[in-house]
Amino acid sequence: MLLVTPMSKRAGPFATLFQILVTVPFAAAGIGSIAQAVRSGRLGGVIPGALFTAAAGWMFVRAIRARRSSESRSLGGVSATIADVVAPVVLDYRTAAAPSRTAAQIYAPLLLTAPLPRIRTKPGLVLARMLPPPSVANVFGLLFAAVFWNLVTLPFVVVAILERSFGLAAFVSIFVAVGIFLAVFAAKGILARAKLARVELSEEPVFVGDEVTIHVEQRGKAQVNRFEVDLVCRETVTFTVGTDTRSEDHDVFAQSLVDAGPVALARGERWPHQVTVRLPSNLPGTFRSARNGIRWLVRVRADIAGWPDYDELYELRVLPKVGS
Amino acid sequence: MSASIHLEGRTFVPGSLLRGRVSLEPLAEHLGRRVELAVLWETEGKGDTDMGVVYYRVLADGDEKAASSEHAFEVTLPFLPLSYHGVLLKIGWRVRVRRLAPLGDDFVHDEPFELGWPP
Repeated sequence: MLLVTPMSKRAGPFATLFQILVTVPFAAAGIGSIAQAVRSGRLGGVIPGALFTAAAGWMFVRAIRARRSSESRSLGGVSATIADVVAPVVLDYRTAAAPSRTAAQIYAPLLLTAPLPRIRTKPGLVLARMLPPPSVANVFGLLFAAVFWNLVTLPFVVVAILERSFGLAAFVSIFVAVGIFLAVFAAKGILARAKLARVELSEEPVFVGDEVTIHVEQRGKAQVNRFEVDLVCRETVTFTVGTDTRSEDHDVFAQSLVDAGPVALARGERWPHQVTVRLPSNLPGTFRSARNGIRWLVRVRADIAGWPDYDELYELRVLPKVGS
Repeated sequence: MSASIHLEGRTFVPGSLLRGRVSLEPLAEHLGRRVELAVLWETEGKGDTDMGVVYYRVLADGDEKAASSEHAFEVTLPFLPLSYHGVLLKIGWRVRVRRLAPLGDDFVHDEPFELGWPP
């Protein structure tokens, strides 16, 4: 198993001592609370005491663990497992029949343990594999946050109006307006996803340098002004600046596959596009670690009249050709 | 302390055997310190560093003889990730010897190597 951990410096002795000292009041409060609860016969008091003691124990273990080297923290019976997984594959690719094997077959033992994204494809309707649609978690999270924000701010406006304090009402309305803007933004994102294209591939994962057929299908009812599909290989890095976490992208490769429109699609009508493309052999394969990655993406953008536009990324795994 | 890492090659194919040896020459006052050997990949570039360890061994931990001798090692290298030198991101493979210091910075010696398929 290949273990991936964020690199962090080994804690110094004084930092460790400080962290251990911080645990002392927690441990004292926890143990004291448990002792008091047992002495008074109120066993309900044991629970908060146990929580404090557990928190102190957790902080103590973390403090001690931070003294170990980052390499030893990344460890867990690694080398034998890797040898077990890799050796049969090495033997296989050297056999005469090896070239006909797909990336999925060659890399099957490694897909869950190597630094790669977990992509759950399904059997496609036209081609072999259908890529999962982009996650909706962010959009629904934003909608939830916007609704919560409005539930908190709106009562203040109502109370201010009832008390004829219109200046205060106008001021608080700014906050409500922000919440409404966020809700509308999130709702547009959810609506846009109702008309997302379906993306299928002839195989997934696929080897760098191989040909892959990509099938993208837009559904109606929709008046599509412009429909674009690109294949992109993108470096993505995440870094911390002070207390902020930022990310940055760099496209190593981008190729336009489809640029079409306008077209009017009736309800239930499908607008398919199928392209076969050879992935350049000099490009890197997919890579994913905690804060960095090389992503291969099918980017689909649609400008739809009277409906929210979308610009979505469908990720696929592109892996180095074994033996090339 | 000084440590030298000798590898049987600089470029390796995924799945191949990486063989090498580490020679430790510590100062007399460092003989009792813990010395670790790891084979790992590490990201470099604009992003924060991630790492993956494929081989780890404690070479010495209070044993004066082990702390000043030569240690051979071998590890079967994985298929992924391959070495990569991009614009924002680089993925580097290295053999690392670390002598832990109770106070102050550890002594770290890296020997880089390339993992990839021949072009």
